[in-house]
Amino acid sequence: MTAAAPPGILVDRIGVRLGRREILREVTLTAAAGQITYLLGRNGAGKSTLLRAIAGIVPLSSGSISVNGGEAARAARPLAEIGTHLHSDGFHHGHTGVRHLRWLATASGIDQDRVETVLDIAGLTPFAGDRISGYSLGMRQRLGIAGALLGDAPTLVLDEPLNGLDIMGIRWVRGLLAELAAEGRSILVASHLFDEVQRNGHRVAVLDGGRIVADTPIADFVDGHRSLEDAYLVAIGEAR
Amino acid sequence: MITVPASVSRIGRAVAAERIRTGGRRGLLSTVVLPGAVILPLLVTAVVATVSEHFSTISTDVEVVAVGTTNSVYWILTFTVTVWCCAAAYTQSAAERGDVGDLGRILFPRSGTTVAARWIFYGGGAAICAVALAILTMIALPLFYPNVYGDVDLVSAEGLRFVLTIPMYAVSAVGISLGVAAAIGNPAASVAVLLGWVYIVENTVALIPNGYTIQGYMPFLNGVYGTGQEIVVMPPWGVNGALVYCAGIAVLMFVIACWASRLRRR
Repeated sequence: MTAAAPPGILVDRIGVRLGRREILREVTLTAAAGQITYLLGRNGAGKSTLLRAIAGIVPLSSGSISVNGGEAARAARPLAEIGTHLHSDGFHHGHTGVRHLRWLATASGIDQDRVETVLDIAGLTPFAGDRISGYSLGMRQRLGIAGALLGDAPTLVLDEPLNGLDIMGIRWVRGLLAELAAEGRSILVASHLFDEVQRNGHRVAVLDGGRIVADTPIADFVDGHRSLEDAYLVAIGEAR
Repeated sequence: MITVPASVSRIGRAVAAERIRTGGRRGLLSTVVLPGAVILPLLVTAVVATVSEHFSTISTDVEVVAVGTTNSVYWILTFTVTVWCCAAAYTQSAAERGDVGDLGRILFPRSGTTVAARWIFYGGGAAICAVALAILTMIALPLFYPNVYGDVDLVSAEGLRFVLTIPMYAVSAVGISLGVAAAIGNPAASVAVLLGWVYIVENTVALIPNGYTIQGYMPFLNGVYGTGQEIVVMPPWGVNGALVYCAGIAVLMFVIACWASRLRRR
């Protein structure tokens, strides 16, 4: 980790409009250092838009977002501030895995030695020279996570990183996230896999209809309910 | 100690990244630019020269007109620059779209950074490639095809003008292409519009009423004319003016590219 300011994401009453649609309204959220914060919500709730806003891709119509004490889009080397894996298909498919990472490293001013390191971490070294078009979904997820780790950033944002991973891959991500959080990094993960949330998450934020309806430690969130799923359904008003 | 401004540093990284993105055995440079911008124009030049030279030596019935310096690099100007333009346009459109576009936005939050980097990378590549091929052509043609191309002279005023002006035209043409691509936003459509404009619209516009006058304002033809190449076009501002006009259009299109790219990010 390289940032001087404490790691973390502070989302302060943001609004996001895409065209005429208001996607996010008055969203406030904190992802603290040393914690894995899971972002939950039904399809279309605005989770991906929120993560894209944090990464500096989507302009805000109101409010502000601070990443490690600054604005992600203003960072001299954005990948060294915030590691992102937002799409399982965000690659040039004609590239090999190693070329994709070399491209990212060069564009971000990151030492090329990190490419070999993150390939190794992601278990992709044997496939580094293969074209991404031949990668399975699980391998593309691993490559995306490798890209997020490239800048050794203190803050990580991942959008459904477990989709398509086999059981070994899921165990790998679980261990990796726990390790990264233990190092003091701030990690925000959008997910629908409640088992994983409960296994290694510290905090949950629930987004519904473009608003945050819960933002609390997992133990507090589940307290009084039979399970995380029940607590979630109550939070989004779908409990029967 | 001299510190490099952050924006310059970012553009430098973007240029280097573009080199990695397009390089490699299966990259755009190997699969499109090398065959289209290097091999094709050299092949066409060699075939045309061989046939002309052959006819000039076998028969007295067929008169083969000697070719001067000002018409010796026509195929380089026609193919090399245009293929680089297509590569730039395709990349500009493809890299700004979809999930990959999101990565680009994270890496380079300011849209102008990537557009400027692509102008530098593809414009520089087109300039170096075209002028190198032009020099090679002006040296090889009189050497191997003396009957028809004996008058071609690299160190003549016309030859030296090519050496100076071809890079200017190449850089300008790529700038125009980036503007077209950023405005259209679709890779295939950008290339199609560009090729249609260069090879069809600019040449056939002369067929409509007042067409010759309109043709004098066509940016690519102005650029080619400005290099000193012999073509039938009548810009109202002369040879040097034509080159300046082409460069002016390129700057305008670059501004449009930056603006369009920024709008697409909203």
